[in-house]
Amino acid sequence: MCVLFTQCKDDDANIFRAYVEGKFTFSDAKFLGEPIHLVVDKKIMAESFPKESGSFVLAGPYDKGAYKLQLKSFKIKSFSTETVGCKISPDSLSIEIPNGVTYVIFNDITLK
Amino acid sequence: MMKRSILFFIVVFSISVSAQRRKQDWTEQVRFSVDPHLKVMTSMGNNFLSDAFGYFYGFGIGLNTNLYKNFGLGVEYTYFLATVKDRDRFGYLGAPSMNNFDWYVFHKDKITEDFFVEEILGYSTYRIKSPYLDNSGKFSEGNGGLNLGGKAIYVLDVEGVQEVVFGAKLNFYNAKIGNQNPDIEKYYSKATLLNISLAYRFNF
Repeated sequence: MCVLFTQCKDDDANIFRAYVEGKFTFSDAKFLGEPIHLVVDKKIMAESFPKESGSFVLAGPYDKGAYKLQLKSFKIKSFSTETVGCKISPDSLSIEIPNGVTYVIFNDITLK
Repeated sequence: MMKRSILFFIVVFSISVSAQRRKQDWTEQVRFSVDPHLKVMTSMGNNFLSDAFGYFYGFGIGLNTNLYKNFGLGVEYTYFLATVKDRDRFGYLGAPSMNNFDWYVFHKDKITEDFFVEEILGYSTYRIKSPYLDNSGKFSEGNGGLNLGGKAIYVLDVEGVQEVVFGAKLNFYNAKIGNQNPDIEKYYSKATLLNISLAYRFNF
């Protein structure tokens, strides 16, 4: 009964909006023409294009798990953030964001 | 014996008639109405509903019952559609639809013979459904909140059966979308919606 009640009450209790913003440092202007994504379990949850200044905002709904900020073809050299646990993926195309982190600011993401 | 039973019958009959008359006095004031409506709604302030979407356009139907004196209860169902204005903060989602119920108490004021005003206070439920752009189903969000507003009612015929109703309402939207940053959580979970409506009302 208790379980039933809480389930009825909190429809959205386990829904999150991941919110990631930041700025890219890039040299090739082609980068601005490629979409950037937030991906969880190979499923896209957010899509955007970086602004001319390199700044971006990505936000999308998900319920659990680690996710990543993914680029299409440009590779990441380095990044800076206050959030602990983020790391560049082996193929350098994305930054992996750990489970439970729903708000990240990347002050600077430098491309190769 | 026969006389007695006739007398008994008359007494019972007269009691029931007078009881019915008293009941009619009360029920005479109970009126029902049904009103199909159109609504336009917008979100005010800094929240994802106002940043991500254009106007919400909706249609639906309302039922009202004037229960006692000038007080009554009503419910309105509206199906809204909106276009996506900015996807960056919304997600990888398509144009949303919204199912909205407004439950309310109203008070009616007679201004002239063919012009009335209603004040409204109630509770609303909201469900926004947006298709995932990878066709993997729909994302659903929304919960409930207070609503308050008013309606202006113009009587169209001598019998008072048909009316046109213009309404304006504030709907407080609450959802539970989690984020570590309280400002972001609020940005996705709370909004104040302003809507105006035009309805054609039939009284019966």
